[in-house]
Amino acid sequence: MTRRPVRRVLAWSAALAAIALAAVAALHAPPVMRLFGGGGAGGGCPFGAERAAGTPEQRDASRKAALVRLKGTGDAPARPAGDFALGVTTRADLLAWAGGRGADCRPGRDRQGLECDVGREGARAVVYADFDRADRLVGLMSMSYSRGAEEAGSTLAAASAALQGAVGAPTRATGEGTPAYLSAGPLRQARAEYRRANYFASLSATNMGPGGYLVSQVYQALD
Amino acid sequence: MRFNLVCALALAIGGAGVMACGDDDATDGAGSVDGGSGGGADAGAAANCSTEMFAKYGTDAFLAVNDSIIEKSVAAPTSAVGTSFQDLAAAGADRVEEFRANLAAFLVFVYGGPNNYQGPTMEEAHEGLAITSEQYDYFIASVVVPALVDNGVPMSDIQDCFAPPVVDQAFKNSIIDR
Repeated sequence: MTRRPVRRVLAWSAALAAIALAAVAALHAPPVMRLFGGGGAGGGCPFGAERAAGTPEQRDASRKAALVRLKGTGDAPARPAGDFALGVTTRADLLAWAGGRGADCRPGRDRQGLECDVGREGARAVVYADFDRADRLVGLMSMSYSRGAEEAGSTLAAASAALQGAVGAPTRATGEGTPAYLSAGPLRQARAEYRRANYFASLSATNMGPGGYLVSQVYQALD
Repeated sequence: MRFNLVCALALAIGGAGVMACGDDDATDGAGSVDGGSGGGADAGAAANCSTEMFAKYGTDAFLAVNDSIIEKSVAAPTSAVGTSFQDLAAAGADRVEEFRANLAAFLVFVYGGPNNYQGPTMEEAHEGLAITSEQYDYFIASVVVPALVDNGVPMSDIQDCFAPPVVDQAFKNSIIDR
């Protein structure tokens, strides 16, 4: 490796570190902490300021207001979320699906949604699901792990094909889902993002180094 | 228990990045970048790194990545990461703008001199947070990498420079399940 590429890599490394460190440091600044209501556990970190549970209506309103920044243009004709449909699938449906797979579900971090371990035969997989006040699915994220780039790429390709068939082309796509690209190094990633007025989805396959390959699927209803 | 995954992992990423970051006068060769032990450079190198990079890239670059991190964190179901980021975003443009302004002001302080970080240590920051392996991976794969890519950081640079410490299992173990 020549001096110039090494310096470029070092410069980027430094930039990444500086950006992350700046964000963390700034988040701990008193004025910023006040924005979050005084901070929480873990050294007064502002992101410890979880909201009170509130009413179901308040939770729905807060969620919608937050997710407006994910909006694109034009409505998606359908709003798939893996094996489910946003706005249609209910909590009972998801629990029945999980039960059929012998999966263990428990309350999520927000104490409102669900977190289900759905891995099989030693392959880790987790599904997180958010519901509205009518117990309809409004947000879902699945994370599945595999040891090989080929399997991860195939999983991503299948999910992408299904999603494109339902909602059309992605609004943004980066990286390549080929085994050669993903296996070239840690944090190599293929990602596609779908932004519609009523729907957001993001699919990615990431080389997590010794942790294997992670295929992540995020779906959100935006109305 | 209150949950502050994003903050804790941001600290982790910051710490990891600093560990990966060498002095700009480092010698040639791949060995000058920490290969991922998670315990690389000393505090002096980290301080040089920060101050030099603020001068080099300026506030706009810092804010762009920070904005992307906020946006992408909002996209995760609250059942996975809690409600903190959605709370901030739901508070409205004024509050987000105030947040951004405070960040910009604080950057001047952070990168204007030595001893630029006075926050908790890695261990202190994560104690009692019960961050899971999946939450750590989510933050790396679905927030940080996309934020960097979307702001023009080449994948090759992320792979070669940023990745080694954050995918190191020993480093990850110092963050999760605490």
